[in-house]
Amino acid sequence: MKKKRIALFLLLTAAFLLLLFLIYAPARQTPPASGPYSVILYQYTDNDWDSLLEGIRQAEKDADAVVNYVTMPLSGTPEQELELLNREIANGAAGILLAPVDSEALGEAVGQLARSVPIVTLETGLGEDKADITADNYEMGRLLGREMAAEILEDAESGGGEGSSEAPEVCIIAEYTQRESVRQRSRGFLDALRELVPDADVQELKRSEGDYSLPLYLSYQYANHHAGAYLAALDKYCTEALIEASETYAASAADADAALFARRAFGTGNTLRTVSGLDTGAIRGLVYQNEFNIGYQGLLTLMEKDRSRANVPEAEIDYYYVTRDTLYEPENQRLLFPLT
Amino acid sequence: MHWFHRKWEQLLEYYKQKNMQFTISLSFTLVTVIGMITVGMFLLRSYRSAMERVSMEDSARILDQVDINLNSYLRSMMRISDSVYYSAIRQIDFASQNIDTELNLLYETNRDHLVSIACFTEDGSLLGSVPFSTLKPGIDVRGQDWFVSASAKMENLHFSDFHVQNLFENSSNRYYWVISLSRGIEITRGGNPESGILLVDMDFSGISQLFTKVNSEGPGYLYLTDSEGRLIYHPRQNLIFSNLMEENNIAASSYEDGMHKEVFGHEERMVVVKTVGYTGWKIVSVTPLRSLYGSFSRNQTVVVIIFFLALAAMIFINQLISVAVVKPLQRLEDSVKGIGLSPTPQIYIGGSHEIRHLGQTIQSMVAEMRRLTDDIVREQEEKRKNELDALQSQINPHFLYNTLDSILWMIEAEKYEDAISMVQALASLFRISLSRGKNIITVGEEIQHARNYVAIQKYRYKNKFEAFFEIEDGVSDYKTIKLIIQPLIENAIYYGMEFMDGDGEIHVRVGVRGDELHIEVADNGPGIPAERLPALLTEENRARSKGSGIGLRNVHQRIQLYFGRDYGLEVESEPDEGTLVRIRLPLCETIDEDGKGVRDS
Repeated sequence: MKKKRIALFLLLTAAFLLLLFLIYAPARQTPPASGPYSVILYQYTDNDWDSLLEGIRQAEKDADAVVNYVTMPLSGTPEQELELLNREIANGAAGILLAPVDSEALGEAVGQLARSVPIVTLETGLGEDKADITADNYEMGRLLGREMAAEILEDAESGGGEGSSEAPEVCIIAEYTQRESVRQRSRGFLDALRELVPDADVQELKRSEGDYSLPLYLSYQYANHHAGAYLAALDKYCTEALIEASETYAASAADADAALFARRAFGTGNTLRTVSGLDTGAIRGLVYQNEFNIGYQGLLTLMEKDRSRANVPEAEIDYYYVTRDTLYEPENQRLLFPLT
Repeated sequence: MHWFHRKWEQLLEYYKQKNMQFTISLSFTLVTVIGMITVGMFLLRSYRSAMERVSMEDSARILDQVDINLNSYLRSMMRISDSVYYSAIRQIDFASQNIDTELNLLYETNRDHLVSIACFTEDGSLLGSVPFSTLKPGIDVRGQDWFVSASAKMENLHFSDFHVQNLFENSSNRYYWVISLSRGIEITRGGNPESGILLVDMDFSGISQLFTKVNSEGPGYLYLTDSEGRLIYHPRQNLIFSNLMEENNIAASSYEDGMHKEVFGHEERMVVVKTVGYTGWKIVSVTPLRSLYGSFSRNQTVVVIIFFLALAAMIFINQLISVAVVKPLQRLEDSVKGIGLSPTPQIYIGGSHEIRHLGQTIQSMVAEMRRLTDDIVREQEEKRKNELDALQSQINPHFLYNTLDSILWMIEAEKYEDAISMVQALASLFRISLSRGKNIITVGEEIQHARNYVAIQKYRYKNKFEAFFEIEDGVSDYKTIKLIIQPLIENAIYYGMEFMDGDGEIHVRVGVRGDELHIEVADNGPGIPAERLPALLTEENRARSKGSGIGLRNVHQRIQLYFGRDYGLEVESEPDEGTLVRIRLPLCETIDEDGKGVRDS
């Protein structure tokens, strides 16, 4: 009995010492932040991912992650993007947020890399696959198609349209189609247009070797071959070019012609340039997705994928249509003019 | 209910059956646990209250500071508006003068907080503006909220919603989030007073900076709404704008100034609200209660360890206390149990004062009982000794009658010599038997007494037997109690010689064997059956019809009473061969009347 008491006493003493250690031991280091994660985004103009990057930064702050922002050269090639991807993985990136510059060219190589490091694609998928975090690009295209069709039908109804007796001509700017998102939007756009305006004469505008810059090319094509046509740009770079083309055209054309160009031009994207173009009346309307949300959800999804090493469910990203008249409505203000 | 009652009864019964140490230990432990839980709950509540109070005070202090800064900022904006109005607009005639220089001067002085300053006529025409000079095509300011508000109440200053400025052409394609401060003004044009609207667009970043620093510290955050609950500033504004997060701003706008608790998004939060004086805006401080108790949650492992450690310590201490209380009682109980087992029990005296006192009392009681018991035993022994003494002093009347009858017969037969010898023997027999009342006589006197008795009996039994006395030298002076040989000879005669026809023999041998005196009375009578031998010295009520009435058992008991249980009689007998009865006595040269304690060896 006495031995038991001594053992109990020793046990209590040990527990007491352990407790003292727990209380007075140096505060445990806070767990290291997650990461580092790398963000590799293609880009063709400056500041074309502002909203998306703002979303990533917000998620970085909320989730206490470490993120490296890798800047691609303007008009970078798939090879350059792949090189950056390999470099970041070699440097110990725990995961990659990737906006592929070319879905086809990068599809296989990135698929192999994704076996060793979690990769979450943004806005554009790889190969024929949809991006991990993106709006429904097909539906975005359909929305743009519906809005253009409504304009065509309205013009036809009012009879004021140029060449109203003929089948309406619709020109799709068919550049940057190496990205799956653009192809999806194009399909959606055409499906909606054919449903609502079956007799539309759809043309593709695509430069050939030796052509001018895209804005000049568009301006030239509109002035000389497609006057009065309805113009559709299905990604932000084409839209920026379309806006510039509208402005270029307006500088030399009659006001009425310039106004017609602008009224029949529809674009995609929410870069500062596209929004500004809409605000100045260079185009009629824009379809845009909530890029802040793509960035925010993208990083959180990547972190979850890094933790669980499993596929994570796709995030739902909203998309909207905005015109000059609705640009300053509260909802559009909030999404198109992010606070920095 | 019945089941619980039955279980409760069983528990009580179980509890009662346990020993005192278990009962004390369990009771102390239960009381300790209940006490610890009660105190713990109280401390937890106190801790939560204190945390809430401290947090509320912190929030209120920060809120007051932000309120002061925001008021100061808004007042500075209002002063700018006043300066523009009173120092510039009221000083010129717009028909002939330009206001741009004055506006530029004021703008440059405050450009960190301003996006633009503009002056409009009541029909919305631009009179002057900095830093932008051209309105966007198609813009009609009369439809904008700030213009409508200022037109409706000309005498007041109006703060608009938080919005993106949409007035001027901007070559940099920059868009500014602003809060418009507008007021109705009086302008002079061509000497005639007209109404107009002065617009000062405050850069949102000026307000944002007031909140950014305080929101980077502490577990909670502050946000700002207008009087209708629309968000002006929120630290996670983009998330709210992207519908990734919600805030309870509409409900908060209806709160009175002060502290409130709310549940929003399954989270309990402490909210402190303060209204900003002129604007009616509300600064809202939000502190999730989870974050208040976060430090407690982080330390809960330590708290749990402390609880169980304290519990274990309490159980251990309770054990020690219960042992300290119960152990002396158990030892006292054990020592009391030994009272009946040991002639000299040791009563435990120890422990607390009360238990020592109890032990001493029991010890005194035991000593008293022992003394009383000894007295009773001694009295009983005395009584028995007296009875035996009385018994030994008795002479069988039948023996006396027969002896006197024999003497009478001798006298009638004129055998006077024999009669004289017999009378002498009888007289000697009585003299030794009486011994002046003494119980202790010498062995010589006892042998003489036996000789006298044999002499008488030989007359009576017509020489049916012969008696032989074999006495070693030097034994006559040893002391013995009287009347121990004669009863043995009497038995030998009555049971051994009565039917002998002149060839009976009785041998009386006295000698020292080791440190004992042995007196043997042997006969060659028919002997005693073996089955009766064990009972000879123990049978209590053995009927006697012949002899002096002093039997073997009487002699045996008297010897043991006087000399102890090591001494007494031994009987050896063989059927048809005879019987030998041996008296074993200590070698005593002096002996007192009480016998014990004064024996010499």
